[in-house]
Amino acid sequence: MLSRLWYLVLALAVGAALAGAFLNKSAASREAEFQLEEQLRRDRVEAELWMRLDARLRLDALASIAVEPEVRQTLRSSSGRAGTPNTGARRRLSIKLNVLNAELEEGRGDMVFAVDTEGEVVATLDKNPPDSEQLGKMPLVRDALRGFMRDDVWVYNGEVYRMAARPVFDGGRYVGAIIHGMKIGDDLARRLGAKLPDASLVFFYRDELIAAHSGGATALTSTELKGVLPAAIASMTEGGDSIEVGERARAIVGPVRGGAAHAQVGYLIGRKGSTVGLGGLFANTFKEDVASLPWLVVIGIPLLLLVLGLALLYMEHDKGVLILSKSAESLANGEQNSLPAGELRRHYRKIAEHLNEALRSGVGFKEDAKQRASVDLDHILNATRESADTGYFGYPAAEAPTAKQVAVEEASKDEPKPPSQAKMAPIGTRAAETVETARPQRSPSSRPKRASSWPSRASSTHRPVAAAIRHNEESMTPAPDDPPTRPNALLDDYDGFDEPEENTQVKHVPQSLLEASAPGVQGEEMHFREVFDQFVATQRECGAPVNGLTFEKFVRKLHAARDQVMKRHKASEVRFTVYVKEGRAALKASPVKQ
Amino acid sequence: MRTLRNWIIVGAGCAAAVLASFGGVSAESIEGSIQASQSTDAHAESNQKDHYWRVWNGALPERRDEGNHDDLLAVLTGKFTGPPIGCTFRFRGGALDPSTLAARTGTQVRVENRDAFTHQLAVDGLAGFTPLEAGPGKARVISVPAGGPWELSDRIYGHVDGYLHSMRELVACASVTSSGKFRFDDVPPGPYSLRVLRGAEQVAVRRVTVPAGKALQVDAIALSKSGRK
Repeated sequence: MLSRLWYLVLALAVGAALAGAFLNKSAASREAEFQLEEQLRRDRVEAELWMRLDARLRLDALASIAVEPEVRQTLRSSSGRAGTPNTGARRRLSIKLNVLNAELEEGRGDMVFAVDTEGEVVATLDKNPPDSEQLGKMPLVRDALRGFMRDDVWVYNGEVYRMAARPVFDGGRYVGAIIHGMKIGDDLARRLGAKLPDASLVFFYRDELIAAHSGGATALTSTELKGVLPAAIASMTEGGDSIEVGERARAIVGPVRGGAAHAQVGYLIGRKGSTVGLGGLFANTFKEDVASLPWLVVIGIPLLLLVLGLALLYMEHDKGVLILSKSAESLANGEQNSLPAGELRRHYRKIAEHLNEALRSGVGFKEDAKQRASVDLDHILNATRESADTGYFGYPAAEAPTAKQVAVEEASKDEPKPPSQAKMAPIGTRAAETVETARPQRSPSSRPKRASSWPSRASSTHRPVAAAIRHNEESMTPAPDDPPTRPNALLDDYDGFDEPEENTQVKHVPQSLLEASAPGVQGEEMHFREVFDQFVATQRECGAPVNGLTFEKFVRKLHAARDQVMKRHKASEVRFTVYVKEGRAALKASPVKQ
Repeated sequence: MRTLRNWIIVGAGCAAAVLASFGGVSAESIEGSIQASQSTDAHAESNQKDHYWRVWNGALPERRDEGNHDDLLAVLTGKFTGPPIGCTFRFRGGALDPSTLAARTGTQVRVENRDAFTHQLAVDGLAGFTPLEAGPGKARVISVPAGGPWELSDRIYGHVDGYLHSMRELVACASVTSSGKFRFDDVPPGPYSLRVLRGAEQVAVRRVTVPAGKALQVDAIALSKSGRK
């Protein structure tokens, strides 16, 4: 019971482990998704800060242009009521702007304007087309002309620029501003992407990608990010939560701060989450995690439980099986006659008890029972023949001597042969030999039909076993093919007495038979009387002769048969029944157990 | 094409000569100015040497520049059936110049993009007007029904704003310079109403009569702070 309980505990433990694993997987998936979203938020903050810092650095870099004397003087001459400078001065300022912009190196602008206090463009880079002569209404320029430094985003000539403006101060007043712009392109995405490891980054202007950077071979591609651009733009207006790009991949959107934010200029940062499966639970396990495991508990408790389970299994099962195995072997070797049920527990004890009971009652296999029945019959018949030499039970053998012949032979001897000698002889061969030597030669005409009816009987293994006791040689009935193998049956044919002068003579009546016929067994005698009457009646009905058959002779044979059957089957009683077999009356003995 | 244009100019000149010879309508000009607001305190504050320092540190509020009249529009209304004179508008310097627009009811107004920025003009509440991008050098045409005024905005640049007025007897439009001056050219002689619009409001109105053969000089116009006159 405990071992079964142990199986239950084991099953519960496995179930709990699996449930824990799946729950852990779900929790890990949620945690991974949460971590991914948090990482994206941090990425967005990082990007915002980086772009602000970059703008600040550009504003600082613009100081080198704003303090340049030529720049200040030219803008002063252009501002206020001084009027617009001549073309030559503006041209020289443009050249100067090219030089100063080149000195900014990494921070050099893609477009640089020098504007006067009216917002009029005085000079610009050579590569910038003079599309705009006035910028004063742009908030960036207006604030710069009022002394503020700020940054912005412009959509200028169809391209997106990150802008920075710094006022130009000369003679105690502001005389203009330097407007600096850097185009948003792959270079900017690469620089920002370097701050966001393993993240992919794209800048977009409405539904168009204007810059892209991939975080690696396993990172999201710009095409995948572009696929979610409409959703990202919608998310940008709703608050900027992360959106799902694919399986375990998300992206977060952020606007590029500035005047062009209304133009839906922004960036999208995408990341792939870690794989979380049952195997993925350990994907992010580090050596430190493994080293920090409480190995004494992790290994010790399962080992302890294993030992406990094995002990319980041995106590309840293996021990009983071992005892049963050894006991069965001893039983087979004859070293003991029963199984030690007292040493066993529960169902093993029951098994042993049942087996012991079966052993005591002599129960065996059915095939063995048939074999044993035949042996019993042989013994019975032998005993009967040895004790009485003649009887009604047995199997007729062609070579078997008649009871009268046996009786004459034994009567001629001084001392009767002990029955044990006949029993010690091998059943079958000895009986046959005995009969063969005792029987006189008969003429073939005496049994023409029987001899021809069972031509194979001579070679039958059962035939020698049958020791028929005949009252008359001529009426000797050949045994059927299966007389000794019938279970629980003592079968024989009674041939009757067709020759009264050859009545069966019993040389010796065992004392046991005489005792069995004592008055103490009157009920049995009544049964024998009934059997006798039925036998005689049946014989007559079959047309068989009953001359010479007396009750006393009949009873002696019944006693002998009864004793043998009772001994063999450990029966308390034997009942005989009469039946017709092959036109003659026959008897069947059935052991009755209490 | 050039020949046709020459013929048109010649025809117009002949028509003007005929009208002048018969003592008919002539095209005159109207000049005027906006009276500067009284803000001595502000001037005093702005003249301080530490003005920017004080603004940066929050001691002074950030204010619009004095003399900025980008949001002012002077218009003439009266009995005139010809096309409105000088009522063309544009983006310049990154915003509408001026930011207050006016058009005769039932006609169209044209807004040109004269700077390098791409604008996407939107007219809130005006049915049938679809915001579309207008790059540098492009223009948007707005059909102006009765009603208004309508607020204008830019879908790309949030700092861009303005108002569009629908006026049934609109004759001419004139923007106000940073110095507060305005000028109507080619105005037929006759009585008109000179109105000054700021945003969604009319901040000044004056009846004027344009004489034939000479320009009209209008006295400085004082603007009300708010309300329609």
